[in-house]
Amino acid sequence: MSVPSAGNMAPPTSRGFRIRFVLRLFLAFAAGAVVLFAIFHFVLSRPFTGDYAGVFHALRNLSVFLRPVIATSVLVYVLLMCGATGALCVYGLHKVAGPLYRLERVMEEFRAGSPTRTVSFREGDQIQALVQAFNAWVGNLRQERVRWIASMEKAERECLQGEEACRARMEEALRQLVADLSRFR
Amino acid sequence: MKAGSARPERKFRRKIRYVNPRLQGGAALVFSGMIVAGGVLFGSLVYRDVGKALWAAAMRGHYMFETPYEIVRNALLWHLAGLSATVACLSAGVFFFLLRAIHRGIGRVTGVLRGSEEGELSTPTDAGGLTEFSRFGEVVDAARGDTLQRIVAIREEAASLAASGLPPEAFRPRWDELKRKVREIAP
Repeated sequence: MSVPSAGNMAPPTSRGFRIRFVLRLFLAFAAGAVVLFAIFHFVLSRPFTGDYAGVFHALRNLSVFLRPVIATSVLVYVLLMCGATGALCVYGLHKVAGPLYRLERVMEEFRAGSPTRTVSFREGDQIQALVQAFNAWVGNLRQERVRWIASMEKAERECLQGEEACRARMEEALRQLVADLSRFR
Repeated sequence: MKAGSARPERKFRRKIRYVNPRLQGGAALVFSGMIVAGGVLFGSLVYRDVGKALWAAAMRGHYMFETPYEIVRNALLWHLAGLSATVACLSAGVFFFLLRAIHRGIGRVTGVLRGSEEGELSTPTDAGGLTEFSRFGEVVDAARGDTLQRIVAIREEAASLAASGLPPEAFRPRWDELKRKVREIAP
């Protein structure tokens, strides 16, 4: 049986999510540029005072102090931007990581044999196709299991009509169960 | 005396946002690396050009400027625009690369789960893209593998019981045990 490739499916993230993330990223970088500009403007906007020698020395001193000024302002920019993009990654990608995390927890319960609940969505959650596919798989298995149990219990009820009929009905139910289960591989 | 008002009890549940360090932390690290590289490049270029402009103004000897800012304005603005544009474009590129990896990984796992609905439980997920999705694919494979193991065990037991011809007193306990095993599928 072939497994559908990713190319045949709708993107797991919505267009709105993608656009919002990129816009926020651009907004953060614009804000960072404004902060950097403000620092440089503040440092470099002191008016020249005095005569020729005073201005000459002011410019020479500025050249000397330029390195720490630039280093500090770049450090401020880097810290601000790393914080902003880090927050954006944590908050923005939570819409992908959150459902993935919840799905993984439910899958652990499923493997442990505990009663499995369906994975729920929160507002704005992405990768809904994946979660729906898991819920559909478990839901389908559960329906099948209910049907198999119902078939076995129906055979048990035949026992009221006599041992012969009961055994024949049970064996038929078993053969039906084998036929149903043979599609799993 | 005012009767004690029955306030509805509010549950304060802290919502944890940082749930996947590999995905969220990894993306934040990649963006941070780009920002640091952009900042260092910007700093070195600004130091070179602004320093040169200030030195040239000092050497020229006649000053038409009221503040140092007027001397370095053009160089500074160009570098700032360059920094913002470069880092923003690179970040958008990284984000779309990340989305593509998410699409590939999630798409593959979704396809495998859809196939599982039709009974295909043994094809490995083999989710490409990011390491996180490969790991998640392994979790899905483990769940599918467990289910298949249970189903195969039930199928073999049912086939063996149907053909056993056991007397009723030996047949019934095995029948009941089989029913219990069937109940364990997707509880």
